[in-house]
Amino acid sequence: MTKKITYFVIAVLIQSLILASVPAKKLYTLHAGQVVKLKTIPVDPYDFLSGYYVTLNYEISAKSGKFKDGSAVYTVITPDANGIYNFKSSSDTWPKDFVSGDVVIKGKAVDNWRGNVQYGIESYFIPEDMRDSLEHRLRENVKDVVVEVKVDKFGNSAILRILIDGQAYEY
Amino acid sequence: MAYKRKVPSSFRKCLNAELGFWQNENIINSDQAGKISDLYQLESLKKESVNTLLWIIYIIASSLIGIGVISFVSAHWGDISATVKVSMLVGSMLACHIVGFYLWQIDGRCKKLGHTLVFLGTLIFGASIGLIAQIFHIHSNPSNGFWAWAIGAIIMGYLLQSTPNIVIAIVTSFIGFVAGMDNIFWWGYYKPFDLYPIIAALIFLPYVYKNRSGFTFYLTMLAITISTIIISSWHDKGEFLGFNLAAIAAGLLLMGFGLILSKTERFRHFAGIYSLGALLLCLDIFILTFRNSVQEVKMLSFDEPLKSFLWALPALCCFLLGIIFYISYLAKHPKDKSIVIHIVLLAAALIQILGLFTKFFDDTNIAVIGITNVTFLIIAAVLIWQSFVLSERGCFWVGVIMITMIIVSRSLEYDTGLIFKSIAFLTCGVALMASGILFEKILKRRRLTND
Repeated sequence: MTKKITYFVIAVLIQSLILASVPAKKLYTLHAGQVVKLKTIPVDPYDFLSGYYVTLNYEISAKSGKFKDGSAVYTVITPDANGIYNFKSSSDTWPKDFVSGDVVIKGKAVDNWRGNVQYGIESYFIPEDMRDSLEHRLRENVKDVVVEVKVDKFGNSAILRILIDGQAYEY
Repeated sequence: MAYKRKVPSSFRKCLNAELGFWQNENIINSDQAGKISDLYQLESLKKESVNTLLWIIYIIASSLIGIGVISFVSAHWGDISATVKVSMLVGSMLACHIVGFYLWQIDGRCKKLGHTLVFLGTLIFGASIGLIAQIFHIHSNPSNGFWAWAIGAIIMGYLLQSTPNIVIAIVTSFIGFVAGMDNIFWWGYYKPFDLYPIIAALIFLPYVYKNRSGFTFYLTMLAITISTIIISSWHDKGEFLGFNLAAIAAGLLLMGFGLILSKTERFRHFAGIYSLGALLLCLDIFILTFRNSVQEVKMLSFDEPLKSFLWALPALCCFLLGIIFYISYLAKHPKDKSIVIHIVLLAAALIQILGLFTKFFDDTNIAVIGITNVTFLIIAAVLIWQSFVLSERGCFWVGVIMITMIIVSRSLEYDTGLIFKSIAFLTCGVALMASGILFEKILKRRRLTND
């Protein structure tokens, strides 16, 4: 009986660990990261497996340059007068010197229509009942969409909220 | 008597029904009836059918409860904070597991309910992976989520010896494989998905061996077969060739495996896999009897030999294992009553493989088309011949249907004119009826002669 209980506890622990590992990196970034604002152009498909999500396309993605498909890319972004972080430079190694105030965000080079680099913050899930109104606002304010993200010291990023014409949407 | 025989439930039900009749007719006495009943565990039949019904009810009920709870929560999902959401998900998973385990393994009074709750717990675990990813806006290839689900289910299945959890693991790992075939999960050239059939065999077959679960066995072999064919078809330029070679190799493996298992005490009831393999082989050969199918067969490219080898590896393993099983069976059982059929099917598979490669020396495709059509006809003819030798109805009808299929398909495929088509169909129909009547007459005469 003790053996059965031990096996059961091990099995449940492993399942719990797997569950814990899913958001672990994001949780650390959300806890320890620095807030940055990025300009974006959204597109809105429907992912039936995970509900509704907004696909976000960042200005910094398109400017990052060409890298080997699948390789890590480190982009240095710098704030402008409005607090929006813009592209400064990118490389396939961690930048050795960058000025204080700049932030390094880590991405992966992909070869698709969205841009050259993806940073793991290209999707934002929205509730089903909010889909239509949010979609409407996104299309009306295409040029005024800003995303607040947190970036940690390793360059990992996590979305906090979407700002459309100054109004925050957080889910 | 400690030794119990494992046979299909339908046989045990028939036997249970007949035992009383045999006793009344003084064919067997009550002592013998008791021994037969004990050997085949006929006393527990009623209890087993009640258990089966309870299983079905519990699974349907728990699925409905699960859907109901999920629907209720999802209606208010947006209003709940992330912490509460995660707590609810993990809490419900733990509650199902703990209560289920207690009822199943500790208390023992509601074993089926307890096991069902543990099964539900693993379902909630899988759903939680997707929901937690959604809560934290993590979007990755769905295959990663399915593989994580499969790993959790495998651990639970093995540690608690739970077949439903292993079934979840097989299904989710297969979905993960299909979803991941085109994804970006690269380790250089070594896409782990190319090795899925081998991984599935290594993970799931030991469980099948230990627990003798027929359902798990057939599901595992189905996953291995289909994934082998998918991987071989994924080759950039030689998709159809890869598809056909893999289908033949998988068919050989299933047939060889079935033959070996048919002679074992513990796994005799798994031998049905032979028929599945034979069906796959014959179906593949039939597909290649069509001119358009043969035209689709293209030369494989070997620009990246390592990649090509990885793609071909599962099919190669199937082929080699199938040949080994087949030949070892034929060597050990040369007096098998169906040996002619086994040899002809093996020869057909090998000829088919060689036939496919003649395409690369013959641009007209006549050789390949000729070989496939003749092979298909020979299989049919041998089946009909053996049906008379063995007095096997099944063989006869399969052979006759195969001949009908080839005649009808060739008549429709080629521009032969309506008169010819009409003659072909009429002849087939009349021949089918006449041969069936003749066969039954011969069987009846043989039965009377034996009596």
